[in-house]
Parts: sequence; structure tokens; C-alpha cells
Amino acid sequence: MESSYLCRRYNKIHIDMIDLKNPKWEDFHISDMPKREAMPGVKVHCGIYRRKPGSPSPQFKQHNSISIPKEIFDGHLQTGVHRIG
Amino acid sequence: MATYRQEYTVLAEAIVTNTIVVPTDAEVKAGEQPSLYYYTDSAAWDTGAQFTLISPRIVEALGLQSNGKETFMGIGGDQESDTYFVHIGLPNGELKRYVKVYCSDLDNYDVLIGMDIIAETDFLITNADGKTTFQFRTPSEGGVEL
Repeated sequence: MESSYLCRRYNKIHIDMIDLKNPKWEDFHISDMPKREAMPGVKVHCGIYRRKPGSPSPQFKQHNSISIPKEIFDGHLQTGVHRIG
Repeated sequence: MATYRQEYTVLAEAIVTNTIVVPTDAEVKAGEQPSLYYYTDSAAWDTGAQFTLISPRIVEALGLQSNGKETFMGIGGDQESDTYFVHIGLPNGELKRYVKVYCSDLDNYDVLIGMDIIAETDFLITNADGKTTFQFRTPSEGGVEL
């Protein structure tokens, strides 16, 4: 499952680098992805991703989500830190 | 499935919503507010950004501890940035947990929601009658055809 997710995310970039049964995370990078021309007013943050050996795999953990009260986002809060309890 | 809809009265120059950033050591329970979070109404959704970024003022306000430095390519070339793990609360009420984010000066924004999050949603913008409507839902269900 993890490897298929990796494939879905990066398949347009460097799928030939990925062994689906044994992805080489430690050496994985996407430095060859197409460079885009910067346009006025458009932020471009494509680039390089390297994972250090033994470090967490955040992409996988992003499937881990829970529901929180939507009332938080009703617009009545001030920008900044909020502590509950 | 959780959905979100935002209607503008004009053509939007940017898709900006509110969001919260939660330290990973804060207490989070389903259906409850996290014990500590940073709320902002200045989160830009950017399909041109590969990763999600947060501003230095959020890092400072929450006292986040970096888990390392990584290099990414911005407009001005390679940039080295501190990275952090945080939970990101989306305005549809979903808290994405353990998102790796970069810290960068975002000018007028507090958060730049990148494709690492957008790619897990159904994301739709319409502009009929000169008025932008932005909608997204999680998880992605597909099936939207134009």
C-alpha cells in the first residue's frame, strides 16, 4: 500500500526510480522533475526531496486524519495561538 | 466525507481560507478542539507548491522544534529550510496529522497549502458570472466531470 501511494504521487516525475516492492527511500529524489518558469505573482516550490535513513515517512502518515469541530473555522477566532483547557 | 464551500462576490485573485496549525505534542481527540493550535484566516491554497509551508511567526508562536533542514527549489533557486511535523486543520473540519511542512517567509500569508494536502482532496473552482466559488472535500471520491 505504501509503495502504491508513492507511485501515485510521483508517477509523472520519476516512476522508473521506484521499485514498488522495495522502494529505495533513502536515495529517492525528484531533482529531475521539469523546471517551470517563474511567473509574476506565482510561487513555485517544486524541487528536491530526500529522506534521511531512519527518518519518518510523512507522506504515509498524512492518511492519518481525524475530524475536529468545524466551528473552529467559523471566523470568530483571532489570528494567533489558542489554548483549550 | 467532509465538504467545504466558499463563495466570492468577485473573481478571486487567490484561494484563501482559514486553517489551524497544531503542534504534534498537543492533545488531539476526534470531535474536540486540539489543546493548542494557531488559528489563521490567511491560508493560501497553491497548486504550484509541492509541499505545505508555514510562516516563521507560526513557528515562533507555537515554539515548534525543527526536525531537520531540507533543500527545496523556489523562484530564486535552491533554498534550505527548517522542516517541522505538525497537524493541519482544514476548514471542512478534518485534521491532517503529521504533515511535514517547510518554514518560509510567505509575505501576506501564514500558511501555503500545497499539493501534498490538495492531492488528497477533490478540489473544484468555478467562476460563473464573474464570481469564484471554491469547494473541496475529503477524502477524495472522484466522479466530478465538467
